[in-house]
Amino acid sequence: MADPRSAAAAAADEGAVALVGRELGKTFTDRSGSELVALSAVDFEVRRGELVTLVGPSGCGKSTLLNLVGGLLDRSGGTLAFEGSEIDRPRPEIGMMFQAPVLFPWRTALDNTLLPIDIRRQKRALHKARALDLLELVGLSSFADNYPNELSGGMQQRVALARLLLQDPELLLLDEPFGALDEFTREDMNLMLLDIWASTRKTAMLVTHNIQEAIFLADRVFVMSPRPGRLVEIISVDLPRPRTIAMMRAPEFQDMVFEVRKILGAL
Amino acid sequence: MIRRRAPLVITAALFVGTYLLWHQLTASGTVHEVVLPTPGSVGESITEVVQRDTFAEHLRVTATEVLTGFALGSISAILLALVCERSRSVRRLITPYVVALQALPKVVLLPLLYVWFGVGYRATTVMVVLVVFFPVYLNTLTGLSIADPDGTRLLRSLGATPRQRFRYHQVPSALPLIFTGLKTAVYFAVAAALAAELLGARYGLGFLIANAGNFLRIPDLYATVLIAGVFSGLVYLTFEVLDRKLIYWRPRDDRR
Repeated sequence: MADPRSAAAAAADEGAVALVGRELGKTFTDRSGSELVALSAVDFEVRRGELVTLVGPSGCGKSTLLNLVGGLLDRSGGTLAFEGSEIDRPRPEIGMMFQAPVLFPWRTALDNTLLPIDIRRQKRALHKARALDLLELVGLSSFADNYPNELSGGMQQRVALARLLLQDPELLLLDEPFGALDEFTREDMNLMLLDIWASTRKTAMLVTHNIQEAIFLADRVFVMSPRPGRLVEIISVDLPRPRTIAMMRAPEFQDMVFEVRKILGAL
Repeated sequence: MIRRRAPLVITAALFVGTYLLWHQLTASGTVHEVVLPTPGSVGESITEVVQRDTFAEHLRVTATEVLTGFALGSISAILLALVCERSRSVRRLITPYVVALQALPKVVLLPLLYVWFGVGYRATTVMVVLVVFFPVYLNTLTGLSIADPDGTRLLRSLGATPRQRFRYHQVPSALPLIFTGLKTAVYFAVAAALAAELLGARYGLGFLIANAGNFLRIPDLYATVLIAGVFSGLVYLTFEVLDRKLIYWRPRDDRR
């Protein structure tokens, strides 16, 4: 649980740098000893309350970068710190969501939402009301007692989002969270995500390979290129918030899409 | 509903048809009653066998052998699988023996078991332990290795300890396969107990069958075989029901 004082302090300090990576690198070595440079010399900062998207083709290291920030991988070089302290393992104030919903089939939607509470060895009863509120927030109030196999792909991903929100991390790491959903569901989910992000003012990093999506959601877009994975350009998106689907038709939106394409295509 | 009902009608029709054919063949004298007694005389024989004073004791002996052997065999199999899942060296040490035990048809061990444990419930129980062990061991070992990596990644990101990952992810992921192993094992257990009793015992449903055969009491033979079939079916059904209750998340198409 976020301490209310630190949350207030975070709100007051909005815009301060929360996450810093310097000369960040990751090299994988396979059994035969050959090396694959997944990420090379990445420098970046993410400010508190900012929503950053990472876009690039397969193999550009965007998921690797997210896993490093999440503490799931050890970096091969450079430094990486969140709120001033080094990231060397998963931390409760950093939460992750993946392309697959990753729900346990033996748990109901509610029990899946409560998983972070079980892991922290806290009393479920104290958090059940909040879990139900969060399920309502993601539009699943009448499905709390359903098992995952009774829910559609989009609904399962909503449960995963409710679980992430119950964990209540300061930094949300979203690894192509809606990549497996059809386009209409994905648009809905993106708008819902923006709503939730706007009301909680959490810092967020979202990985996608969809350029429109990357620009539509972001304050800043990190454009990445493969072999080796590098951060080649950072584009600030100055579209007003709240974002609407109609903005995607605006000339400046199209210009940004073209710019990202050009960066990725020219490399 | 309709799709569920149709096979039931066919099953019932087949049953009635078989009964009528049986009745016709025996009543007309086409098949001699020594080979196939009439349904009526088998029915009377079933009532008679079940009402004998000693029947409850025979049933109790077989049930005890099956349950004791099943419990010992499956618990030791699960424990050993847990150890082997943790320790690669123990697994390497044990695997050749487990494979050798499995490759051997256990029934051939019966004479040896009679020598070691005497003719009776002890030898039968050991026989049951032997046949139960392998399906439970193998299914548990496989089950413990199938927890999906995404779930592990999620739990790690939540800061779960290895023990929590075991409890919240690895074990529940393994349960459907463990239960599949238990269902296979209990079916083997009944078969092994009956076989052991057939070949050497003074009590049990298998002994009743052997006894009827030895005295050429053909209706009794049919009756005791049917009783053993019902016993076996009830045991299996119990586990099937348990499976549906406990492994409620098992995917539908796996279900039989």
